[in-house]
Amino acid sequence: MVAQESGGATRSITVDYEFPEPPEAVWRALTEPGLLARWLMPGDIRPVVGHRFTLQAQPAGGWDGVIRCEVLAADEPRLLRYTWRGGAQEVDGYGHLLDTVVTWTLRSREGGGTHLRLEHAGFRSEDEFAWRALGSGWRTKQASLAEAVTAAG
Amino acid sequence: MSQPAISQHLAVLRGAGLVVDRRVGRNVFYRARPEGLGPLIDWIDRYEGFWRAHLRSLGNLLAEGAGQDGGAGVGRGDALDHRGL
Repeated sequence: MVAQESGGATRSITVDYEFPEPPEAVWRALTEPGLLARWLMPGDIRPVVGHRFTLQAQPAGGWDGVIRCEVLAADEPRLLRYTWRGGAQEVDGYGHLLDTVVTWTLRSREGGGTHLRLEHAGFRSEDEFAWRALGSGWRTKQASLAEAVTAAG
Repeated sequence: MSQPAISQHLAVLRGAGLVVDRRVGRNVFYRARPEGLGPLIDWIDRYEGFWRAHLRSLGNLLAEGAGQDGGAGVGRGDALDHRGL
């Protein structure tokens, strides 16, 4: 119903981190549920393309805290990519509705450590404008706008 | 696009704080307001803070020996926090 599907600008977060441990150890921490739960969130992750799993975050507002993921790419111990979907429209900031993709890239460093890059992509600018600036009136405003644009051809 | 449709678009942008208008006689002039993008940047910043905090936890976990063969949290005695960022 919301006519904002096409071509909306998105933003992404990139964080680089270096560890003295080798990529194999970092990979295990990213992909084994027992380890992942100890630094990120509990969830039934498996590094297999097509595998669907959930992560349990802190609930916020009208959101139950469940992040729904599907593995898009898995190349041990170099690349892991999965969807990161969850949240609720009415939650502002962290916990807001997201349909994003998380990519982990691991590279060996000289001397045996790991360079880890996280990219979290797909933040939609219009979501934030909507809830910050217009509050709950946004849906009706946007529907009106969509009608107006449709009527205008 | 029709003039009323353009007006509706501009009204939404004005409501979101992304443009300001100035009336001169029968004309209305609109000016972009880039600082209106601030809330989005705040939002991204908060998520980035979330990741940085959790990556620090990952670093601490690895330093305890988790992820090593046979290691599940057994300290190696060198868990100094020498990680950047």
